[in-house]
Amino acid sequence: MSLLEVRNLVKHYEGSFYFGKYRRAKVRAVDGISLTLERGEVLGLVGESGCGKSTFARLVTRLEEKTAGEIYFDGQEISGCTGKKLRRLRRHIQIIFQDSASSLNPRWKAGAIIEEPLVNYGISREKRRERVLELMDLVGMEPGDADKYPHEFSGGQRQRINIARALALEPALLVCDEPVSSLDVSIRAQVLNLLRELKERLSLSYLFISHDLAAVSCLAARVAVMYLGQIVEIIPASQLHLQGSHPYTRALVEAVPAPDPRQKTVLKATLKGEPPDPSRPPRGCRFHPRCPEATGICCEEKPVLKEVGKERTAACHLR
Amino acid sequence: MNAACIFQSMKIIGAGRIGAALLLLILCTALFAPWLAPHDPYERVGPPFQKPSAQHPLGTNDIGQDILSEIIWGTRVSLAIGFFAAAIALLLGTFIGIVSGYYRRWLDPLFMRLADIVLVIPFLPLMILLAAYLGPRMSNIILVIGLLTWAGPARVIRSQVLSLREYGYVQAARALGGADARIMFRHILPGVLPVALAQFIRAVSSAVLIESSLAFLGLGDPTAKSWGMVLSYAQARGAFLTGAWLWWILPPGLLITFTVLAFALTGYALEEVVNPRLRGEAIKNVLRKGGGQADRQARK
Repeated sequence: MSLLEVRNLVKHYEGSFYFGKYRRAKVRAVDGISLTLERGEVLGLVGESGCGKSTFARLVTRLEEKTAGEIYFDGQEISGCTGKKLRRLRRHIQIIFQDSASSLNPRWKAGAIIEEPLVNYGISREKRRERVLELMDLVGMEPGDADKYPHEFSGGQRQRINIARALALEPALLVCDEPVSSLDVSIRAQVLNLLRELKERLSLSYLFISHDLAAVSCLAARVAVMYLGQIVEIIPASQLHLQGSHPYTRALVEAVPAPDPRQKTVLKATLKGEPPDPSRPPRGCRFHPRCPEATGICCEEKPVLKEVGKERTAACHLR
Repeated sequence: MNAACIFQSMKIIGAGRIGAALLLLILCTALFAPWLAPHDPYERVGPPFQKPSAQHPLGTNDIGQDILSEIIWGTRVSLAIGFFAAAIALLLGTFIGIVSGYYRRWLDPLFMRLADIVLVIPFLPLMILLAAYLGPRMSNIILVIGLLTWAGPARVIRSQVLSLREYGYVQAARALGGADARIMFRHILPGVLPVALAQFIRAVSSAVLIESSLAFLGLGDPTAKSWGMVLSYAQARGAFLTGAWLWWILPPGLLITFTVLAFALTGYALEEVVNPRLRGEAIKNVLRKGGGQADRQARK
C-alpha cells in the first residue's frame, strides 16, 4: 500500500460572483493530478512558477479544500476529514514552507516555536522541553538558540527551525514546498544534506517540491513534472538529465544554465513566452502553444499519461 | 521608502506629537480634578449667574455652582464615558473582526452584513431613542455608544486578519494541528493589537463627541456633569441669549473640540505607524523589535 495516493485531484478557484454572473473564469490551479508516493520514497515535483505545485502541496496537507478527486494516506481517504479526525491526521503529514522567515511567528522565541506542535497535542511540559532540545540537536542547532527570536537567525538556521518544528510530531510524510528556494546557494547544500540525513535516520517520506532541478535530483528518486495544473511526465531522477520524454521536461532541463561560461550551449528548446492563463487553458495538449514539436493532433486532443519506458510515464502524443 | 514618503510620515508623526501632548494635558486634568478645581461642582458656592470674577474665573451657573470647577470635573466624566464606551466597542469589534476574518466562509458574511447594518443606521436618532428608552444612566449611555460604534473597528481589524491569516506562520500553525481558538488568540490577536490600539483611540474621541451630543440634547446622566451636560444646562438657561455664552458655552465647547482633535491626531499618527497598508515595514519593525530588523533592512 502506498503511503500517499492521489487520484484525479482538482482545485479550481472560482472567480468572484458579480450580480449572478461569474465575472472571471475559474482558475484551474490543479486540474486532475494522479500520483503515488511509496513509504520511504522521495518524490520530486517540478514545474515553473504558477503551475500549481504549491496548491498541490496545500491540498495534500489539507490547508486547502479540494474541488474534486481523492487523496489516500496510508490507504485512508483523507480529503473529507474534519474536526478531530483532521487533527489526528495532521500529526502524520507535515509541511515546510518556502519562506523560512514568514513561516515563523516573529514574536515567538525559537524554543516556543518548536514546542508549539507538542503543545497542540497535549504533551506534558517536561517531555516537551526534552523533545525540543532533542529536535534542536537533530537539526544541528545549539541549545542556547532556543531563547532567540527568528530575526536573529540566518535564513538557513530559520529553515532548520522550520524543519525541527515539522518533525516534532514524528510525521510519516513531509511535504517540502520549495524548502531551499529562498536560501543562499551556499546554504542550500547544507539544508539539502540535512533533509537527506533526516530522511535516512527517521525513515521519512518526502514530497519535494521545487523549481530547482538540481535540488530535486539531489534528493528525489522519481520526479513528476508539472505544467499548468497537470502532470506531464513522471521519470526517474537519474534519467531526468539524459532523456526526458516530454518536450517540456527537456526544455526545463535545458534551461538550467551551464556552469562553464566558455561552453556555448545552443539552447535547442528554450521556451518562448509565458505559460498560458490557467483560467483559460489551451485546447488539446496544454503545452502545445509553446511546444517546438507540436503537430495537428496536439491542438485537438488531450494527451493522457501513458507508459513510455521503464518506470516512466509521459503525457505526449508524440511518444 | 523614498524621501517624500518619509517626510509625509514625519509630518503626520509631528502632528501626532502635538496630539499626544494635548492628550496628556487633558488626561492630567481629569486625573487631578479634585486638586485643580477651586470648588466642588455640585455645591452652591455663590450667587447664581455671576459674571467671571477672581473667585469664580468662569462665573457661576443658574444655581450658583462654579462653572470652572464644573468643566474640570466634567473632563473626568466625559473621558470616562469615552474610554469605557470605546473599550466595549473595541472588545466587540476585535472579537468580531478576528472571528469574521478567520471563518471566512460562514461567519464572515453574517457578521459583515450585521456591521453594514450598524454602519448605515441613522446614528443619532437611534441613539436618542435608545438613550431615552433605557433611561439616562451613565452605564446605559456607555453601553449604547459601545454597541453602536463597534462596526468600524471590526471592519478594519477584519481586513488586517484577512492578510494575517495567509501568513506562513498562521498556515504553519494550522498544519501543526493548532486549534482554531488557539491560532486566533496566540497568532492573530497579537498581530492586530497595534491596529486595535489606533482604532481604540479614535473610538474614544468619537464616543466623547457622541456623549456630548446626547447630553446636550438632555439625554445625559443628570447626576454626572460631563461637558455635554454643562452645555445642556447653559442652553436651557438661555446662555445663548445673554453674554453668558462667552464663559458658560465657549469653554466646554472648546474643550470638547480640543479633546476630539487630540485623540484624532494621535489616532491618525498611530494608525500611520502601525497600519501596514498605509506605510512600509520599516517603522513597524522599529516598534516591534527596537530597531534590529529595520537596521538590517536599511543595510541591504
